[in-house]
Amino acid sequence: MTDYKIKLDVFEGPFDLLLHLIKEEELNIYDIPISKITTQYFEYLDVMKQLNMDVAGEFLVMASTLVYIKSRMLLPSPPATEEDDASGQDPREELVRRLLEYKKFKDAAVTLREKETLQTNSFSREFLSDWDENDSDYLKEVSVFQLLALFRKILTDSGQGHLYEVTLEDVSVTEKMNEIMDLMATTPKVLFQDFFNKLTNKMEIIGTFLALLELIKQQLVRAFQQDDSIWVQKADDDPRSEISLVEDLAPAAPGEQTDGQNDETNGGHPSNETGKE
Amino acid sequence: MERNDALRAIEAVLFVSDSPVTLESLQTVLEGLKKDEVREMLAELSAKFEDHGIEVVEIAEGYQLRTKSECGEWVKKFHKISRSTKLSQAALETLSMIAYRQPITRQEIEDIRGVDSSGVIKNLLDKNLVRSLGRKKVPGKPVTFGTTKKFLEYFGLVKLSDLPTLKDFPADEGGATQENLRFDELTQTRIEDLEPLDENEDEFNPDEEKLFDGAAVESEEEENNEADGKDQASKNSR
Repeated sequence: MTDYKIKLDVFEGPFDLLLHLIKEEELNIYDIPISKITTQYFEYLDVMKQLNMDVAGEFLVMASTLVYIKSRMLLPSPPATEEDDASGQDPREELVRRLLEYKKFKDAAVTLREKETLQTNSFSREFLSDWDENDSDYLKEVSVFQLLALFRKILTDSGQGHLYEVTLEDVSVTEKMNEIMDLMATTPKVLFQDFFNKLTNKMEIIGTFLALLELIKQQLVRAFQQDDSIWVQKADDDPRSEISLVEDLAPAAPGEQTDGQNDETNGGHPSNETGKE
Repeated sequence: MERNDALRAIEAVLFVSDSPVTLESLQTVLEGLKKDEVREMLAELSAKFEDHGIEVVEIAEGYQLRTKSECGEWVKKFHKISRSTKLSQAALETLSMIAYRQPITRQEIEDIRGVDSSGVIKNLLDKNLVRSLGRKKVPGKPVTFGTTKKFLEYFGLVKLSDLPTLKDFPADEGGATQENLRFDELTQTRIEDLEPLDENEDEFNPDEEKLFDGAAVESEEEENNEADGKDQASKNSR
């Protein structure tokens, strides 16, 4: 996996990101090398995707705009016709205009920040009642990029330079059924939980559970409850022993609890029971 | 009224007021004093506070008693305030657009920022830094936004024209013309050209209607202040 070393700053939007790229690469805003900036823009989007982030729609719109401009730049411009003055225009013009427009206000925001900093050292009565430290609105304004930057930092700090690829093993239910039957051949009565004890993989756990259900359905094994524990038993044994067990328990266990137990074994148990009686 | 009584009265009124007190309301309280006389007294009062922890400040179209900035550290310690700034970058950017381009619609803000801004605007409305001005007479009749007195107070400005001119790029001539005109009659006409909001309207927040109630009054005041900003002579004569 490629080791990305791109520094992720906090961007307010696609214009902000573009301005950052222009500044970092010391590009001329009036003559943006569109191919270069498009490549870099996409690198940033890639980083976001690498982190499984939903890239905000606005960033994708800008990406398509960049690609469009790039393609326009590659094509020879059609000869200017009288009715279409725009054909001779630089395809970057609109983008540059919007970038400059945004930059004006970004700069103005810097001035406002300076004034804010100055002013927040001077207090009036209302100020204190209004702007308390625990203002929850303050929390709402964290952008996804701040979170992303933080996440990057955590990854770096934890020294997780690279990620490991984990391949999922295919778990076959039939295989699991065979495994269970093999186990049952040696140990006729197994605690339900014991089937899952050694399993760490979610798929294996699900596979084992499905295999158990299937075996119960095929009446190869039976499940029953005893002392709050669920046991699984090989069906070849004397069926009576199992039935007697259930009967033994039935008076002791309240009706509702029995229902609950039936649910747990996915109805396999009652069908067996009724089938025999 | 004795001059010293008047000085004490001004001090007392400023002390109890939550928000900046205008010259006009001081005049009303003091009865029979000219604006210039009140202004003079405010200057005298301000001089008296030289060695104090608080001062008389001209801010947000009025006057206010505020703690001196060199005491900010101690006030913060007392109130356990740790951060020095409050607004997020997104909020500041949006606020600068609203301040320089008011009345401005949400769509116009989003066109400049390139991202969805409804959340930020809602937040600014909640903080009372911006208000709805009225509806623009275009299809869809979008609500427009402008800054409040609270905005001026928060940034320590007396009036909007105290904001620095937007730094324009040499090639951006079209923008420059517009920016030079930003707070004069053009802005005013644009505000007056809006449609008032309907009653019980609830597009952004329930306070919207309340915010708009003060708009007509404030518009007049803004006009006065703009005259102030442009024409120093007229300011002195008042």
